[in-house]
Amino acid sequence: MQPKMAIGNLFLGSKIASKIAPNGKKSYFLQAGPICLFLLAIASILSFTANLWVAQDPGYQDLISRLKPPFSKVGDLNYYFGTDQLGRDVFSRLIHGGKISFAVGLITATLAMIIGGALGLIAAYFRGWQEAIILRVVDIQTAFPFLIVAIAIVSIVGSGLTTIITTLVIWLWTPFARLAHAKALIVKESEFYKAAISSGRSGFGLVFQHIVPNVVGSMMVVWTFIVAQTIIAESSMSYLGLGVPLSTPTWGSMLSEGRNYLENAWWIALFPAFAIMLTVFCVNVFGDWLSDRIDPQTKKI
Amino acid sequence: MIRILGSRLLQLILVVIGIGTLLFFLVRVSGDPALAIAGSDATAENIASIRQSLGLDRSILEQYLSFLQNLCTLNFGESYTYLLPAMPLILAALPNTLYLSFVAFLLAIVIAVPAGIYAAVKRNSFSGKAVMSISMLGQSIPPFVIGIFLILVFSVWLRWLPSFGNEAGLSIIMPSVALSAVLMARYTRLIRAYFLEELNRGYVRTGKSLGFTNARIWFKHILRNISVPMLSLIGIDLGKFVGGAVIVEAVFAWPGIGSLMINAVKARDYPLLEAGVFAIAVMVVLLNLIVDLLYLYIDPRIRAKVN
Amino acid sequence: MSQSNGKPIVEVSNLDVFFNTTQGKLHAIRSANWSVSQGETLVILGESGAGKSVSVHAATGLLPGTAEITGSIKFEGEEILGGSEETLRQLRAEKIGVIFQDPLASLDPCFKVGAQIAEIFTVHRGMSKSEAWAEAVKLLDSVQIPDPERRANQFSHQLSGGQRQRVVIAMAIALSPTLLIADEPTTALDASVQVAVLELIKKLRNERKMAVVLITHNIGVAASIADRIAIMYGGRIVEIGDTKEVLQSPRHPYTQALLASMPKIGAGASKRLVTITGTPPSLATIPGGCAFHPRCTRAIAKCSDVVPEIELNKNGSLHSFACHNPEEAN
Repeated sequence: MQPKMAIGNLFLGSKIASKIAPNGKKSYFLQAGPICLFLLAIASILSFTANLWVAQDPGYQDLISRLKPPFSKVGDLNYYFGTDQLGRDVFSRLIHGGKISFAVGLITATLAMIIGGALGLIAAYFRGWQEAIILRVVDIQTAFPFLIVAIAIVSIVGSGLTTIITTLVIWLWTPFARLAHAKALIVKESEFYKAAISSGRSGFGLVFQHIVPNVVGSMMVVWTFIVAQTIIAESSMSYLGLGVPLSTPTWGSMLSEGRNYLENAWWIALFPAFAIMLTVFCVNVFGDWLSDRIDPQTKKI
Repeated sequence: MIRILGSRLLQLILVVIGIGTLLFFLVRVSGDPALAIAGSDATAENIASIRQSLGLDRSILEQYLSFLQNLCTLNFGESYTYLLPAMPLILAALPNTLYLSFVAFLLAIVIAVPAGIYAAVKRNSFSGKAVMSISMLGQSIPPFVIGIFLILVFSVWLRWLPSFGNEAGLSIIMPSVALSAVLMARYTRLIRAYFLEELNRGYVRTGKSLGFTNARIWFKHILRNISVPMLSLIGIDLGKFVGGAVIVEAVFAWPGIGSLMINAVKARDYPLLEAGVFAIAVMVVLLNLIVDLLYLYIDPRIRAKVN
Repeated sequence: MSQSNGKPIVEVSNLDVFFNTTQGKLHAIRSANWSVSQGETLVILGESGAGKSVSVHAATGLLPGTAEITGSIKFEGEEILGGSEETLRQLRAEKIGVIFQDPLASLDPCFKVGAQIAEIFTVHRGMSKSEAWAEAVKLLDSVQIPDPERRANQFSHQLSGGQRQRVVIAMAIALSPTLLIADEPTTALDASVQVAVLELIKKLRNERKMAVVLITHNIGVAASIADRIAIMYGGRIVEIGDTKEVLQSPRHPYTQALLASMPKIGAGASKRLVTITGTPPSLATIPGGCAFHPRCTRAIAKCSDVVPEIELNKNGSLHSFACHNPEEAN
């Protein structure tokens, strides 16, 4: 949105105004988007390759050196971010913990996009009862605190990576479905789509050639925001002890353990807290940047 | 009016039955609840008697029917951990949850409205951009992470505020700030976006041509107009908001439904869990109903359609 | 004409308006001169993009912040160009009423129309709510809305297009302004309603001795209400004069062409309609010399190089035009 342009519209009539191009920068995070993407790429690569370069085993307990503050040195071991209540290396756990956040974020958002997108397109293509059912489910689910349901499901079924991803996908397909449906309906009103129909096209070919390309851009923007949401959701569940088993370090579970030691060992909680915050912040800034370029409307979902 | 009430009621029934059924079968599929209740060193007779008392020895269909029957009478059985009926336990914790949610929501609106308008009006200046950057950061911190930061600063370092429970009057401050921060940030951004869009509208131009002050145009006319789309977003957000409340309660040991449910999860206390989910479902649907009614109050076009 | 005896309300001289854009500075209005007196109606006529609205809204201070305005705009004898935002706001409140093209968009959808009118009185006249409401109902009656009590209690979406525009007119004249600006007031309305709205504006002008500046692209509208007409093309006023003279003996080829492109009742099939070839220029692509020369049938060599100046009051005539090779006077 370019405000000056907008007010120009007001008084000049659209014809003149459309020729008065915006004056000044478009977004306040103009260059930050690509930078954030770059940082995220680095961070995820560092996490996924943690086994190769982080010397300390994240699960290794050394009760003698528990609750050591950052930059402690015990023997020839360096604890840059200190140690936790079991004497494990916070730095190592932080890097390894990123794996879960990034993997769950990327996989969940992608699966949700595929499933939600498909259902949204089905709803828009067939209209009729398919649409009625899908939109109804979307409505009900969006209005409901699904995190609560996720908590209940995981507590019953038992925690694990698959359960978490499945649950989150069941939760997060709805924004994609809503978006794909809305965008597809707009395409269906367009002249080129009507022309394609009148030339006898139908079915998958029609949908993939004419609707999908017009939906994909906005879907990517929403995908980014959903990655951020998923990372938040996963860490929330880990915090509650409903994430992957505790033997695998995650930012959420580190935070939850650190909660009890805030009085005397702030570093256990503070580093994963910053990790979650910065990761989600970067994803959001990138998403914001992307949506300015592709589809500013998606910000309002 | 009646149609709105009816459609919300239908939604409530669908949600409750749907989720209830889901939980019911998940519990039955994932293992024998009797084993979980009895614990690892229970005898076979122990387990058998628990099974019988829970009706687990009957066929699954019978069990399901009696479950539905209990659902209608709000009877979720006794909590395994507290050995008291589950629903009254939840209801006793409800006021605390409502108190926390209400304060947090109010806080979000009271801050976000002026901040959003400020960011829109000062969109080209440094301060306006700063508001947007801060809100972008605020939107990126999950409530429980904010909770940790707050505890560190205000309880551990400054020693101003208690870090858990709801003993003192000041106890509400940190949980409500933690819960409202995401919403505050999100609404600041949305209000800015809607506000900028609204600046293009003819009625704003009319207001200017009538010599009204900007303050009057912004706060009386634009605010009223953007409250319509804002309301629909609030409706959508309610679910996430309540989800956030559960976690914030866990972080601050706030004695509400959330804390109760987290404990229920850890103890595999299914009756308590089901009662909690049920209570939250009803709460969210009722809040949505309030949003619907506010719609009618604010937008005469919608009112006209309904009547 | 009697109108020229009235006291001048707005005098615009040597007005230039620029817009700063990423494509550089756009010169939207080029040395515009016009004025309007008490009780007089000036119509500014031209195709869209000719700069009609910009030249008028420069006087109300309603142009966007990117606009750069030079020249002089005098309102009731006082220079207002460069005045503070607050002065302009006061001016808009007390002295200037504006009617916009789309009456539905002009009204706030969330408030009763009566409340919107009453707001003017509570804000600017310090009336109580009930006094202001009574005043609003009276005003609705004076713009000939039947059953004003009931209408005041309705919302804009419940009114017809004509009624909405009457409400907008009521708001514009609420504080008895000395200048009424009507920006394409009938364009969004049905043909049958157009006439009634124009009649209303005429009636109010006569009753209240307002100066009226009406912007339109419709020659019929101009002919039915104007005392004087200014023709705009490419950001310039190319011809200005009394309605009768401009319409009956147009001197600028563009005016001539505009009139020729309009069907005349009673002219019969014998007279063919002439269309102007080509399209009007956009602000960014206004040709050098006379902006109209690429489309002009009377263009001479000079036209593409030298901008024809409009010669005001030449030989005491109020009919002026800017052309190197004008049509013959009838």
